[in-house]
Amino acid sequence: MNLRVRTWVYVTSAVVVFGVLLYASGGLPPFGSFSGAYTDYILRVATVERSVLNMPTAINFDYRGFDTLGEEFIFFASVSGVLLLFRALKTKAVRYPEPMESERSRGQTGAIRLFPVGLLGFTAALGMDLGAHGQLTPGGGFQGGAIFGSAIACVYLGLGLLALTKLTHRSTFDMLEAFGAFSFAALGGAALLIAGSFLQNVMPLGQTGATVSGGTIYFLSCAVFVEIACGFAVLMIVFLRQTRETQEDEG
Amino acid sequence: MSLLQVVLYVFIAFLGAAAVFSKRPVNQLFIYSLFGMMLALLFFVLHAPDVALSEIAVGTLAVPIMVLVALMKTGDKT
Repeated sequence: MNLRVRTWVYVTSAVVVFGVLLYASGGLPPFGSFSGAYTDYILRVATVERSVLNMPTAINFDYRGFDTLGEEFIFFASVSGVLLLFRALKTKAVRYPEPMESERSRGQTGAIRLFPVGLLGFTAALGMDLGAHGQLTPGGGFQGGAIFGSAIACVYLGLGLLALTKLTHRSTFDMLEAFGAFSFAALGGAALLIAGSFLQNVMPLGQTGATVSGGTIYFLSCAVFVEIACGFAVLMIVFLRQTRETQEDEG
Repeated sequence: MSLLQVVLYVFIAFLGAAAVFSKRPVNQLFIYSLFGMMLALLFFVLHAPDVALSEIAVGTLAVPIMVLVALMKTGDKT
């Protein structure tokens, strides 16, 4: 196809697609209105039924807990895939000095190194806070875990790759990640044995507003927290280690 | 629709277009991460704080780090 034909094909299809989109947007419900009966129902019953104040958490870990199980294993499979790919890329470990190491050898410390280390504590605490109060405030296992696991990037930013590899133990994170994923399925299976349906909320619900409340919701959220936090940590470690191997290739 | 929402929608449309039209992958990445931040703000304004938190962690931190390392690894210095 020459340029002219291509331009014509583009112009016609653009006009048609834009016209259809414009026509379709005329039929949208007005902004902010949503007619989902399920939403209203959950908002009405969830606090009474499950002693939970944050509805997304109630849906994720109870009413639609089975969907979360699937999502959890999608994440697990992705992390496993990344590990598998990078295992094949493993190269001979040649040590090259990092910028931060040479700075340390000169006996210099700077705000640029201390600031991320301070952020590490803050980020980790924020992640744990979000993960632990998923049933009360926005957040939950996934959000808290993602932020907690990402805190590991602060170690790299502040202290460099050598400190990251020395301070963290990747295979422990691997195992904890698998443990988190397994716990979710195991809690669901235990409910199946006790109450007769998978992931049913079989534990005492506790007082609405308490730190530990919502029955299995709290524990499922914790399991997801462990899995996601360790999964993110593994991803960070594996990816950031690649920065060293790039230097090897060039050196 | 409040003024804040309109401002955020315009911002997001602009950043999305900027990410598509910028030529260098590194620039695209930083625009994308700003885009993710704005998206998180929009989710927050639209009363979806749970989604906003996920977007912050994934869109502004995890994806940029991975893509940045991938760019470094593939030797794309442009």
